[in-house]
Amino acid sequence: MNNDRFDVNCMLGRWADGGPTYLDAVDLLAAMDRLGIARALVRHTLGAGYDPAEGNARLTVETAANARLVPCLAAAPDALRPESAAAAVAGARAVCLYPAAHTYPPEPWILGPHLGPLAERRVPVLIELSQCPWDSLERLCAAHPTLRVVLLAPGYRALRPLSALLDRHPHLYVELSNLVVFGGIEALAARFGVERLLFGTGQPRTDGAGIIAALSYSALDGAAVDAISAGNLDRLLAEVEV
Amino acid sequence: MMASDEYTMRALVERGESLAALGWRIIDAHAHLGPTGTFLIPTPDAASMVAMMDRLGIDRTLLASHLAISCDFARGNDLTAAAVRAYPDRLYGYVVVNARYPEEVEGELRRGLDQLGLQGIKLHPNFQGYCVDDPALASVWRCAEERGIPVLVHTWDRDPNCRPSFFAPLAEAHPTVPFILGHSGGTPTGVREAVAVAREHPNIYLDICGSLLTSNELEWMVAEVGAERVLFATDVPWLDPRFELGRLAYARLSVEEQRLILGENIARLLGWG
Repeated sequence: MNNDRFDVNCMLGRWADGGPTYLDAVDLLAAMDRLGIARALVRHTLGAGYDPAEGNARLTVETAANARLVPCLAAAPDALRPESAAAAVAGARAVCLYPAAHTYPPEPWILGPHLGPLAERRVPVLIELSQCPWDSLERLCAAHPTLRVVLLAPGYRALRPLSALLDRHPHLYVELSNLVVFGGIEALAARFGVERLLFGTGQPRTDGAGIIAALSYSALDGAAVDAISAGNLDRLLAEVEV
Repeated sequence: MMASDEYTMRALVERGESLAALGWRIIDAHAHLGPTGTFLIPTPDAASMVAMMDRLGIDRTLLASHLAISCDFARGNDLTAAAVRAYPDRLYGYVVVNARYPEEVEGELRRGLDQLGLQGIKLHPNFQGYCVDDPALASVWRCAEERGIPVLVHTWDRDPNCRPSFFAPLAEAHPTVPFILGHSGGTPTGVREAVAVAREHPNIYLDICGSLLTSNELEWMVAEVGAERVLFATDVPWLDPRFELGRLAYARLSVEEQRLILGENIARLLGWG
């Protein structure tokens, strides 16, 4: 194992509910250093809970000065200003959708015009399970079979629907911070290979020490752990046409 | 207590090495066994659990089968006892009773503790749909008092049957019974309530398993109630013990606090020397 870790799931910014916060890049980098995390694909709470444009602007400023931080832009459909919505994520290397927070059904009829270009550019689209019902996720993946979808934080109860979705959609990827059922990581790796599993912490809302220990004590070999820890996300981002 | 930085708990966890190198007793105070109807567990069997204990360096695990805390407590207690017999000195059991079957509580307690050789009592008011103040549980508290054994109870934030604050009157009425609040109320709000109750009642203990606890909350919990009343617990196979171990390893606790939490506290409650 080379201990290179690339976190696909962390956030900057304050929360409405007063939850744990990384106010700025300095805060986030200190938390990453504590756990030995080299790099992070970062989102901003403003993009999720306030305004995607404002959040993306803030995120771009916060991450610009540090090569360890890669911005993941917030996106939302906007049929009234489709050009504006498309332009907002035109240069993105990764995008996150927040359908529940932004109050729209995550269905192909509303997201299709936005996801098509992202699929063409092979831009990973992140979405938290709490933001998107299983049935909608299935329809999105089916409607955009080449779209790289990264499902964030499926929980310990998720294996039945998750494994069925992974079986049907080869470009669906899974972030592991909340997959805390006993033996869940090894079971997914055995059935689907490690290429579709991604290291993430869910910080600051969840504690990255858990997934780090799960991988350090993993039954998987060193190469597999390296792929999960950083290699798979590196590959996904390298494939993006910017 | 511990020699070099190479063999701190955190260093061992980072390298994925057994915690046996610490030379401490490591005991998981809250575990289960077998499939659960609510979701898929890939390897819920005792052999897989013991193999993971070996990998992590956990000496002993106290469990109550999933069947016991769901629809058939008596048959579930038999499953618990069978696993304990299959792995002597590694697996130990809690007897589960269900207040929804009041006429069977006292007899099942005696059967579990005297015939099956189980070590403590486990209640799951959430799954089995009764409140911890149910009069049918009077024999549970009496039994725990007479035998000096702990009672592990599932707790969760704002649960109408078993939120942490419900244990204040119980702990006061039964001051010699060690009450273990499973999951310590679970959520950040629940943990705050559990800590508040524990601060007022010295016979309340907090177990740390639960997918929502963080290292920071653990540090705060220890500072508030003292490491002597915090118990290492994993909820395996419902949850994966590696996650819980990681959070504990990265929490900023002293070596002595880690040692107490990892095993000495539950050993003391069970009279394990």
